[in-house]
Amino acid sequence: MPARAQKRYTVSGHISDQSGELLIGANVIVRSLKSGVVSNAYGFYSLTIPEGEYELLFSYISCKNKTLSIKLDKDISINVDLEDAAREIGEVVISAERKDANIRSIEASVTRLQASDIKKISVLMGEADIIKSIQLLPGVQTSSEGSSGFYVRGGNADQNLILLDEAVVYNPSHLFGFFSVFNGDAIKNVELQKGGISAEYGGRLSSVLDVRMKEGNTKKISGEGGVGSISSRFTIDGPIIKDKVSFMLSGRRTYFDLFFPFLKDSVVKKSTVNFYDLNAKITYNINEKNRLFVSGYFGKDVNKFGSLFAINYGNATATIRWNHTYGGKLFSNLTFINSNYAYNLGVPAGSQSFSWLSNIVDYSVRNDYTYFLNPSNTLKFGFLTTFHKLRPGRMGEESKNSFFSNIKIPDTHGIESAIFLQNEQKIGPRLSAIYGLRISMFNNIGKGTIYKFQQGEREYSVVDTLNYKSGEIFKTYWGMEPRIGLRYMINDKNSVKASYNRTLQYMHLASNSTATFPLDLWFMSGPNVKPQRADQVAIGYFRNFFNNSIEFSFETFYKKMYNTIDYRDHAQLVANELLEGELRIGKSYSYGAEFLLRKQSGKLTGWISYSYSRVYRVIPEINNGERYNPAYDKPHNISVVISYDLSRLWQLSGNWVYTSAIPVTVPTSSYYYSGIKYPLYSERGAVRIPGTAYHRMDISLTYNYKIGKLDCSSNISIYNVYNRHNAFVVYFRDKNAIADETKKSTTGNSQVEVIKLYLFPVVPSITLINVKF
Amino acid sequence: MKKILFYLLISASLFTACEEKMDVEFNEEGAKKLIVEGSITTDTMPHKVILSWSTDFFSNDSAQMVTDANVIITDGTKSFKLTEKVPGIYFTDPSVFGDTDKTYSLNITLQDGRKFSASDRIFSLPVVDSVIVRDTSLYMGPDKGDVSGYAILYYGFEKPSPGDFYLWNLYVNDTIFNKYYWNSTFTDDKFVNGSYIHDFMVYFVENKDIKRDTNSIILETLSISKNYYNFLLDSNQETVWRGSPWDAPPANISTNIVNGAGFFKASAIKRNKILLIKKGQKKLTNKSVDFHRSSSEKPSFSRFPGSRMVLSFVSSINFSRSFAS
Repeated sequence: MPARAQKRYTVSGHISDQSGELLIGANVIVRSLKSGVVSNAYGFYSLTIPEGEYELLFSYISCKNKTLSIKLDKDISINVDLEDAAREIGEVVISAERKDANIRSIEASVTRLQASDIKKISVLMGEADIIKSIQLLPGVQTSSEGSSGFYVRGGNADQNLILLDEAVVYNPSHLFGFFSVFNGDAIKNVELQKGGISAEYGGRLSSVLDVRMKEGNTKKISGEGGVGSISSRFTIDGPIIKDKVSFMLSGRRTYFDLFFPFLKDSVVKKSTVNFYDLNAKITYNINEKNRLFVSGYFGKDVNKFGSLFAINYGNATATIRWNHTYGGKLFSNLTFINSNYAYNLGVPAGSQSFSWLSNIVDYSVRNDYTYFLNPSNTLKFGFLTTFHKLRPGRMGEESKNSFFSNIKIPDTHGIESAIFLQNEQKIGPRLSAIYGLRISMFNNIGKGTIYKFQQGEREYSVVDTLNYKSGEIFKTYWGMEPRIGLRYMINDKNSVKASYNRTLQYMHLASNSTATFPLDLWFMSGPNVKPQRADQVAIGYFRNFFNNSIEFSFETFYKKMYNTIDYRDHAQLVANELLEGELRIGKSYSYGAEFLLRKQSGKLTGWISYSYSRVYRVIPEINNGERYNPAYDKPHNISVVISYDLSRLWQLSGNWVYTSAIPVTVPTSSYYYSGIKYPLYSERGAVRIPGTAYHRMDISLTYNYKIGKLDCSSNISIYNVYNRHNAFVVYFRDKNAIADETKKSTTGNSQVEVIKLYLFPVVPSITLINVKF
Repeated sequence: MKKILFYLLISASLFTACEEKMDVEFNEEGAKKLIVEGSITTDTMPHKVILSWSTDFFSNDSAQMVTDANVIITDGTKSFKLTEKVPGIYFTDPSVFGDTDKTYSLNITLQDGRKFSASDRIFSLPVVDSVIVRDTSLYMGPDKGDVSGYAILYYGFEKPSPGDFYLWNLYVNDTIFNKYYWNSTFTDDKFVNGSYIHDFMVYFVENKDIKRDTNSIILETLSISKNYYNFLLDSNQETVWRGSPWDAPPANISTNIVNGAGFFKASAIKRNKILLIKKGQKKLTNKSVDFHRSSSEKPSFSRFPGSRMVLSFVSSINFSRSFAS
């Protein structure tokens, strides 16, 4: 490499696709120097190299490569548009450049999916779903069928940092989890980090799911829409001022409740069950040095059962970002974020009418910098601070005629802050490293009420109540979170990677069931609740085959988690001001091995993954202090995800998934009380019921065609092709006691049954039409 | 009645949830435990304690009764010895009654000398203004739709102190209506502390469950302890409410029996009797008895079986789970 005392200059700019969409992680390679950089999350790149003439090669996975010759005798700025490689219908694209990011990138345990990848995956009711796609990756577990909760490498569902344009999404599910809040049409890019978590992220132990919305076409108005079996959706984007200001607006709504009025049932007739969401974004390309982004999400689930009962919930997020570059090398991003999750439920009328409200609000400021020091060192640093306001619950006002009193569970407030510094360094031709440090801090601030508890055998009792004044900081936690990742190239085709990260978590979700529920509450660390902490090490081997068309990876990890939260038996988690007294704290650990074989180009694309993993908890006051497996401990996991272009017009895709049976707690003996059989249980999660391993195959067939200039497609999909009755829940019941309540049930008249509830038999669905223009 | 939310939701959204019996058995054996089912109330009557052994979960055998035990209930000053009249069933003398604001202990000594004990407190009851029976119809879920019947409505102040718990029993012509915990109404006072409770439908009796010759409806209001309230809640959670992915992990039902299981309950009790008058030869009507002030009042409001959906909500805002189940 030329290392003379030569003048150095910077070439920088933004990389976008042909519609002006900024590309995250696009490569810029200087062939003669055998070095290069990758564009950051805002499509910005910067290279500082010695004066001279160069050929720059720009590449991105779904785009055609572009080569530019430059003469570098001063700092220059070049914005690059890469043409879509996506094709005339059915045309097979073979990328000219090798795509060896799998082995070359320093990060292990990171998966990126683009909207187009996600749309290929066959899912329930034909709704492209980011979280359902993520659940097919190695190291990621589902809770129960159809759930939007996911568990990464033995971490709980609340240990995933789910971000939509940097705003935290507190509940990623619609319709009690059967669908996720992310509308595939509005999404550009999804990245899941399950290990070696970058120092710029924190606040959750186990993973980061970073979802970015599209910016919108800067050249012309375009859009897409579809009519599916569950929902209809429509997206439009385009320039407001060409190449200057663009917008994106996307919405969807389910419509099955529109048929309710035609049903017989008097309550269902007057019921509403739907969800909708809206994504909007405006991007203002002020000038070469400044860009402004404003984006928002609003979604809501509405469930009303006549005048009997109603429950509504939803997230709203807003993000304002300002990108600024200082002299081509230093890139700054300043973000203001608001995130809100709220639910309300109640009985609308009558003497028992009530309305119960709960919400969580975040206000954040984040300022982060990328400093492209030289081709060997890229620094990132910045800070983030968030004000959390939790309102666990209060009775609403609308209960006029009701005898319920207006009670309120005290609000809690906290400030979560972090600073971070990270460097990505090429140490030699073979060795690269990312190393960084995050220092995080959490303050509880008043007004607040904290209860002091005394341990009890079953329940804790309150021994003292402490009240804090408004603005008073009454508890502070802080901690260092080192993050390290190493990559060593054995040769062009093989690499090994290793990572270590420590993560801290100050916000926790109160949930003790296998599936997350919209009423689950978030609560914060404080005098009674120490932050959760995790240390994870991971080692992996990466190899590409057949000219990089097939990627293979093997990773193994060990993760130890401290201050793990579980709950006492029969804990009351909702509407309980003494919630902290229901927590039982201990440790947990997990380990596993993950294999992934992935093919991203050609007629046949998809992946096969297998993971073996275990997770254990040891909590002194649960299960007599013996270690036990939480319900998401499913050792074996297989996913096969395949998409095949049959012809120019037809595309076939399918999945097959397998997971081991979940551990359940079963009755070992029983007793009679008032003539009813009551169970006495074994230790927690002691049994895996034979025949409850989960497996399922889905198939989907897509037909692409044109109507005039519109690209159209229709799709038929079949969920659970071979109609396996997968256990959703297994429970035990006394048939004689419950089947007939009038029957005189005496001791000895029981007939115990093991009941499996299954949710989806074979479910065919049709997406009538998807249109793109 | 189970999984109502779930069912509604599912049926509403074109999904179907199906049940299937599984053919599995677990032969793990748990240690034998002494099971106690006992109570004392403010009524003057023979109070009963039943002792049995725990049994295998999958067997249909009757429980083995515990005979020849020495069983004593005491309030610290007075002690009542119970006599075994039927194998495993022990009674106090008919003259025995409990007093409010006293703690009662149950002491059991088995033949082999092993000792077990339990205690519970009798809390006082508020005044019941009135109990009203009203003709009405009620939505009973997608299967049954609207069903007509009688609403038993409660009126009265709840005690001003927080932390009170109530259970109601309903007798139709002297036959208990809420035979099981899962159709019993019980509640805490979290959301109603000190309020005037009105139009509270404690029970709903379907027309089919009330005979033409019915002439009396008795609503019994009982004060219960927090522990017994938890026991009732756990009982539901571990049996009829089970079967949704939002269930908490299974756990043993709470108990106040040291080293055993089951419950020894102490309650104050009040009764409101409502006389129904027949109108000609036709069905019962409540018009003439719309209002009844009983002399031996009872109180309360709570968990209602028919609309458990709604009330399980209210009364224990453990709703998320109980509702879902």
